[in-house]
Amino acid sequence: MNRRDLHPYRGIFILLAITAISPLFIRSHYHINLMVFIGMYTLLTLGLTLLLGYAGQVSLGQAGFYGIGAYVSGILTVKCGINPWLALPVSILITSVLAFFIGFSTLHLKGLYLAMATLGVGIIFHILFVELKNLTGGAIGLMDIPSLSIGGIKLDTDLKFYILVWIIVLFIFFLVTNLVNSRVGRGMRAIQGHELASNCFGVDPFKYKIKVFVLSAALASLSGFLYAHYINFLSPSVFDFSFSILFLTMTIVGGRESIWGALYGATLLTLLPEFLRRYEDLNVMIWGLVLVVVLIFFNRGMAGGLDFLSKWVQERFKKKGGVRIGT
Amino acid sequence: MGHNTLLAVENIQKNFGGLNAINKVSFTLEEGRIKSIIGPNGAGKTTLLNLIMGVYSTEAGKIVFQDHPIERLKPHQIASLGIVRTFQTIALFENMTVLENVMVGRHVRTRSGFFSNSFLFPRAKLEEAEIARTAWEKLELVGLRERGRESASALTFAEQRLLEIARAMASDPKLVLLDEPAAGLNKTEVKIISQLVRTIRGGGVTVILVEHQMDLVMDISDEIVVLNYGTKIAEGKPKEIQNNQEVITAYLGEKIEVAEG
Repeated sequence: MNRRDLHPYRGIFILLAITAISPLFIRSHYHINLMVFIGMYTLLTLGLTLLLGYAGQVSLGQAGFYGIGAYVSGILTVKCGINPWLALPVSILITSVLAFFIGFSTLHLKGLYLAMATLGVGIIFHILFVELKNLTGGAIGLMDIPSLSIGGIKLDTDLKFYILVWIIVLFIFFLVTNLVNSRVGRGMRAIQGHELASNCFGVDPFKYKIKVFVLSAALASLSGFLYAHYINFLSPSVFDFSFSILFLTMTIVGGRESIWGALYGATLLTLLPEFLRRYEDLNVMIWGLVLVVVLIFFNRGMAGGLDFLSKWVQERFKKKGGVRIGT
Repeated sequence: MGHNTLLAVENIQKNFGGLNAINKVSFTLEEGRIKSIIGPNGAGKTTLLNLIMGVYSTEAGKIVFQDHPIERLKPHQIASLGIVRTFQTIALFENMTVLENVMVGRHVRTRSGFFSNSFLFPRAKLEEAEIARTAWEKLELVGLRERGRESASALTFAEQRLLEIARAMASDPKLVLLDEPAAGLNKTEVKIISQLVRTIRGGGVTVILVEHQMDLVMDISDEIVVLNYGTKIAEGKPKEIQNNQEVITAYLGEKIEVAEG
């Protein structure tokens, strides 16, 4: 039992070490900038992993919630001069309330129907970002969004923002690790495993689905807030439905059955286009090929693949009479 | 109604399209008893369990559990009153380990939510420890303790049936609905199930058993209800049912002769 108590945080410690050491070796703004994006996308994808991989519900509208988080905070700080740290809870609250009503009216749908409904919601949000010109600046965008500052220190460099984002990511991973290893996490997975059985054992599937949906929207909103105050400029094009698809792809390629899949997926799909840039026309083909290969060989995504590899390595060690490692 | 009536089913009715799946069925169940529901395929046995569990809603009639009318409640509400079931077509959470399956069974007896679990409130941690302890106990009860860490899908068919029972027992139920717990099992395995049902009843839990294996039914039931085409055609003690002419013509004939022969 003791082993299980220690075990869940192992991944968080490894991630803490990696994120703490990385800036010592990676100095270029370009690379730090990429890692900030990986962090923001990880937060968003983590919500989608809980929704899709744990509770078994799909959403193609996450870019909409991401946009709501960004725009509410952007508008409050630019137009009303409110401190960003006050705008954060407001934007998360507004996103959550919206998600509650959307979830309440769509989550009785299943599978493809739910995908279509959430897709529609995402598109509606995108249209609002473009058309509510007085608030959002329309297609021209919302400019001069203030940077964040903490205790008088302005987070105006990539490195400072990197530190903030990854502290938040680590903290959220801590919370989500606790959540998925609890009765609530098992309740979510039970819904995916067998909805009727979960219901007969006391889980209220509809209530759970709504809660997880709201949680995923809140994480998307948090991610949007960070984006707005990092880039200092918002344009509707980064919240359109192709981003919803991208986030869903991150979730699935990363491995939806593990919360760490969110990190793997966000990392791969943020870095891959950058690596492929030099291949020009070929890059879309290679991108597609990588996704297909990952999903054919590891249908549980990268997290599933790593799990498989670590078990295989352990087996090898055991056969050679070596010490058994890890779990 | 008799003393200590746990469950009273009164004139319940359920149609599927034009089919009369359950037609004015009534019976009562006293605490600590094992009541079996038998009948030919399609007689409405599983439908009856689904009506009690709230999976289907009744079109007429009442179901009263410990003075609570439950015919309008949802399954999770009924579960929280202390009724729990197993599934004829095994319905485990195959995406989870054996232990975790049983832990879900404890869901209905625990309260901590999203917030208290994320932030590791002491109450949530205590509850979690209690859930794990109970789950291990129930695995011990059905003899699956060694398999706890494995995936539920790695179990044999017979073990999956045992896991269904362990998961149900994890909720500390007052009434367990067992839907063909011995279907597809060999004689040795049926004996294990039979022993297990006795143990469960010995712990003060009332049992409704839907089963086709007549040896098992006649051996452990206190009373039997016989359904045919959604209608109750007989009710009584095993001996009475074995000698009931209507039951024999409807369904039992040969099997009784084999059992007694």
